[in-house]
Amino acid sequence: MGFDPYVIREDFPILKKEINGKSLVYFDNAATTQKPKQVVEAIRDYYFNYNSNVLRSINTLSSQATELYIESRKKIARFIGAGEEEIVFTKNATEGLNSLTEIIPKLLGRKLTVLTSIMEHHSNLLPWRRMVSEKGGRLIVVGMNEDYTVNVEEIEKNLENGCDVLTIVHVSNVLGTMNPVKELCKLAHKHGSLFVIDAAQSIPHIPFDVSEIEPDFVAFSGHKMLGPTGIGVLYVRKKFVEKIEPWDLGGGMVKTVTLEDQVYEDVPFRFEAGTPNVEGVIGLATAVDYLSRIGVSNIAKHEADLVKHLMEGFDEKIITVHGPLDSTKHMGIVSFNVKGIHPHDVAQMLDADGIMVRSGALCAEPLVNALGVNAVVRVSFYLYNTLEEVDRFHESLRKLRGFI
Amino acid sequence: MRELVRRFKNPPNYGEIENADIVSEEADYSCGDRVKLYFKIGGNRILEAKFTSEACLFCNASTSILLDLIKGKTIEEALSLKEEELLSIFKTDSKGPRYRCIILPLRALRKALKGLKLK
Repeated sequence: MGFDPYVIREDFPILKKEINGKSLVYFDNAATTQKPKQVVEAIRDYYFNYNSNVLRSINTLSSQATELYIESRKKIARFIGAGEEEIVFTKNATEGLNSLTEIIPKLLGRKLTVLTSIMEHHSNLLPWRRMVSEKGGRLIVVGMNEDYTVNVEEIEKNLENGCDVLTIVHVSNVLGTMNPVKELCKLAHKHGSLFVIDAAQSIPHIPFDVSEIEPDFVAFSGHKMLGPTGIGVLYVRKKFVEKIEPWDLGGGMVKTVTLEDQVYEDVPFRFEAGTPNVEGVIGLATAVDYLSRIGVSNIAKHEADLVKHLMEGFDEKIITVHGPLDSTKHMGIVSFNVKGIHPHDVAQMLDADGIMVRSGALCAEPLVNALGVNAVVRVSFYLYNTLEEVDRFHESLRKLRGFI
Repeated sequence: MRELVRRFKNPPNYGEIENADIVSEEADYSCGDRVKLYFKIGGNRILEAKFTSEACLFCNASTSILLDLIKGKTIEEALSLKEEELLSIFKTDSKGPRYRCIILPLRALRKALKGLKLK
């Protein structure tokens, strides 16, 4: 059966909801995505039939829960082409990126020179800045090209001068543009630098395979890919898994403890101190099953159709699109401003018609300011959005003309 | 919303005061609103107040209304103005989606006048 968003929508009860007397149009998927029945059912099933602490007790219930947990990790790892020992569960991409500012200085045993870009979400800027101010080292922020991707030449020049870490957003949460991570990874490795990807906006929307890109670390969030909130993944490349130190210590991550010493658990369990987010892991694994069944490349194709329809419908006299005018360069995300109307007011007027969008600085203020504005309106799509919804959006936007 | 647009597309009290006694700027970085308040003070009273901004309709309307409310008042009276008074004009409360937009000028006002009291 081919890809059909109307069939998919049947799995998402929330899409039948009405807001302000209009049927809900959810265009805020870069913030978080809706959850299919299958994900919610899996969590319910876990709590009603398997709830127990994992990886600890020898009782039957705990064994069953542990099996579900381990099986889920395998599925999630497979989804990005990773080995199960390379997957560390976090609460979200933000936590993964923050952890790296503890992990990498210990791994390399020196003050770090970190290279990042102006395109980053705050979560890939603030942790590194704090690390440098507390531990020393240097943070270099490279700019953007005219095509709204990172400036690769500037990156290469800095890498040649000696950097320890290159950390780059894969798909911008503001512009929807995609950075050439495979090329950047090769460059980083050629010059002896580690390569980190913030994949929060890419893994949910486009095929992503660590065995093809070969990054050292990747962070992403479950709730942006149909999974529950509070679960994320930090991918750690196999060659570093045994070398990095656990950053959180406590229960579940040690084999033996005496009053003087301890022996850590095997990887990746030694990186997950405390009772893990079992429901989150099971929910995310179910989300991954769902996405795999639909096919991420089909989702990418569908989003490209939606973006094209969206951008074709814009009246360029009143709409300024940020980012390339070529719709194929936007991975399901388009930010814009309406002439003479503040983004919050645009968002509120769309809201009155049941259309949910995001407005503001989108947790990427340096980037938004570099676009010459202090706030934007953002539309972000996912598999259940339809061309009809885009038409409704344009219809609502046309009403704004009276206010300009 | 339409009513707001009609009344506040060109909000009253918008503009700078040359030789203002106090200028106070406040921004909400999460949403990108920014307001700048200008005051003329005589004795203990606010004689004149104006504002400039890069802000949404709600923030502009709220700032415009706030300045009307405090003009001619004493510093203490202006500082005693409560969030709720401003929010109720917009028929909302602190849980409303535009809370931060509406409250921003009040934050700027308090910043300006508390500083003055310290002097």
